[in-house]
Amino acid sequence: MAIKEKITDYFEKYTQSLNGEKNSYLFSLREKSIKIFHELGIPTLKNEEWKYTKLNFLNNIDFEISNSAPHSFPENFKISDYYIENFEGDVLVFINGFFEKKYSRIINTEENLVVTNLNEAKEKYSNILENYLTKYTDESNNPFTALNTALANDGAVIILPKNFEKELPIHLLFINIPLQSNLITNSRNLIIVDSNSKAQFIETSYSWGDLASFHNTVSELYLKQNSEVEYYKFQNDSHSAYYIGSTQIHQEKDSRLFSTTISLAGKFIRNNLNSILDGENSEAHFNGLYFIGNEDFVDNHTLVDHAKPHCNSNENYKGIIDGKATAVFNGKIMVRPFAQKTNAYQSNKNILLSEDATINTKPQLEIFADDVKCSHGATSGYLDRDAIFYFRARGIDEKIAQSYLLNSFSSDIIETVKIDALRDLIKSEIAKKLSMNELYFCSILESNKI
Amino acid sequence: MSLLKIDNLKVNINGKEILKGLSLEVNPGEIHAIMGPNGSGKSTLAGVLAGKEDYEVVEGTIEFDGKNIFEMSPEDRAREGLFLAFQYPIEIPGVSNASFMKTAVNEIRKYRNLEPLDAMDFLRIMREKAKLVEMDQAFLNRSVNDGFSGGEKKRNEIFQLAMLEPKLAILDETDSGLDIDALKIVANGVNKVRNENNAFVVITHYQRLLNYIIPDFVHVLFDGKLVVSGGKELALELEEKGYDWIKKQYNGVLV
Ligand SMILES: Nc1ncnc2c1ncn2[C@@H]1O[C@H](COP(=O)(O)OP(=O)(O)OP(=O)(O)O)[C@@H](O)[C@H]1O
Ligand SMILES: [Mg+2]
Repeated sequence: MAIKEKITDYFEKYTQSLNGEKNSYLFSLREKSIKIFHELGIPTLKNEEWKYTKLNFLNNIDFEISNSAPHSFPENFKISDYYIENFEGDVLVFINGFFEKKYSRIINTEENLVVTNLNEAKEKYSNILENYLTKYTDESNNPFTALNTALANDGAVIILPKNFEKELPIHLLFINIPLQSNLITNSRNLIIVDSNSKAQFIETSYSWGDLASFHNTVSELYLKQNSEVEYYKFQNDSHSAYYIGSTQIHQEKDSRLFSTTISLAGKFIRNNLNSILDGENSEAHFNGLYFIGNEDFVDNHTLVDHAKPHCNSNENYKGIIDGKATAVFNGKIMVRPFAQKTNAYQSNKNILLSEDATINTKPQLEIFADDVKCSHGATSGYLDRDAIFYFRARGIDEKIAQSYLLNSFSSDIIETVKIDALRDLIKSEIAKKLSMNELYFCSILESNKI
Repeated sequence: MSLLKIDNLKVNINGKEILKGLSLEVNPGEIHAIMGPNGSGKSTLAGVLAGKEDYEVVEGTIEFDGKNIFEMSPEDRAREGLFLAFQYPIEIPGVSNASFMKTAVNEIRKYRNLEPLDAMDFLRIMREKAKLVEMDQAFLNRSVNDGFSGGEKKRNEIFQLAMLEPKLAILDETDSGLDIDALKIVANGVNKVRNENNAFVVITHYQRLLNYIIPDFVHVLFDGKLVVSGGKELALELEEKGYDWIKKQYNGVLV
């Protein structure tokens, strides 16, 4: 059965099991969304938004939709492998799409602070869900978001009260453990940061084993007035991992968003990162680094929607592509008619390490206001042979030369990660990719700062 | 035993003959100057010695310190004690001079089974050598050659030479683009580094440099060969008469 029919079929069965929830608002959303999904179907390469992004794995792999967490972990599975070492903050763990309290750690229990999961929140915070869920996610243009709404298993619900300035890093950790069949999970996160508050979020998704995992994730972030959010995605998954993640951000006046997306491995990754600058003086910083090899595929689609005047956006994505890997970057900047005095900057630079590596990069500017400062640029090329030779002529072998050059290329992005434990993890994983001794690599990074 | 022995070297670039049977022998303690018109193949020779790709060695042998140079990677040549001061030093943004040199020094030490220098020793030596070429300490923290003036880049090459203490250094037009003071400083640096165990091959267009770095031999590279060799007076003669007489004489022999 084709994936589309399989999913709609599943939805039928799923709704029968719901009973009581059927009268809820969430359920009406689900019904609406499954219809949209059914109408849109799986996008083909003819769809401009998916032009370079082959989705045939969805039909080639026989997926089942996750409906429960496994009763026990496989023998060689260690949950501790997935935690970020030395990370100090809350960790919310979801296995096969379902919240696992046992493996989670919620330290922050301040009054009015909500750190919970969707299935808990359904009853307790139903009116908040009603007010926020799907408010800005453009489902009619993205079947995977519609699919997510229809089938969302669970996810994080985080609500920061006003004036909450305490540093509060929260790690959302999604692990799929397909045991009997290839698995689809739909995780849905809702994050609301109220006025004058600050927060840091990390999202990571992992796939255990050789059976395929398809993570279809949607996160909605709401930044109220003068709030500040750091939002990190770190992607370092396996050869059996397929991932489509959409993050929809809504920003009010004076809010500041700092997003960094680091993609190091995964069979298929599509990131949609959209922010609506919907209040004056708000700013969005989108940073990204993809460093991939093998036959991996990473696609970053971003949209900065300047809806109000006097806002700033600053986007800097860099790519290193090795082996037979393919990367796609599509950065859209929309400046609406009244959004005068907009500053929008975008850059995408790429280094190809092999002749079989591919990059498709495209800026997409839609500017409807006239008093706007907007610049963009994209480059791609190979490492400078003359520079490598210069190192070698000084007794430094090619591998180290390459590490230096790639490190200097990517370090500005890595430094945008302000959570030490995460940044250390990223550096050590990059050292592994350069097949360098981690200590040696770090000594290079360090000595560079003398 | 000679330090460098080039015998009948023939090198093509993209199928075009550039070096056409060049021979040269350099012994420890010697300084050789190579002069010659633009495009005669001086940098090609330097590049072949350092192991730059994109040359096709058609014939001939090169022994460096008794070893076949063609069996060594560029980094191993450097580790064995060969140094090329580039005619056009490369800019490497984002990599500090200090870090670049620390890695170079320690990679070379590793090759020679020596312990790496610790940070303190390294800093001390680096400061010492920077002084030798009167290079401001600020350059050590800057990215390699990035935004350096032409003269600063050349001085940085000699600083690296002083750091790496090679057995054989090839200076490819290190004097070009240097003002008078800088020229003296660079020459002075070379003279301080030189001793009876190392040797220099100095490629230059101007006799002026050779007032400061006194060569034992001067060679003229023309049409892919060293066609004339002599003592330091040859440089003076060339300065006075240019290359025409060599061209005539040599072409005459050919025809
Ligand atoms: N990569 C290359 N491709 C094609 N021709 C080349 C290449 N490199 C050098 N050549 C040619 O080889 C010849 C010798 O060049 P080389 O740089 O060795 O000259 P040179 O003696 O160092 O000259 P100068 O005094 O101007 O520095 C020149 O004709 C040059 O154009
Ligand atoms: Mg030259």
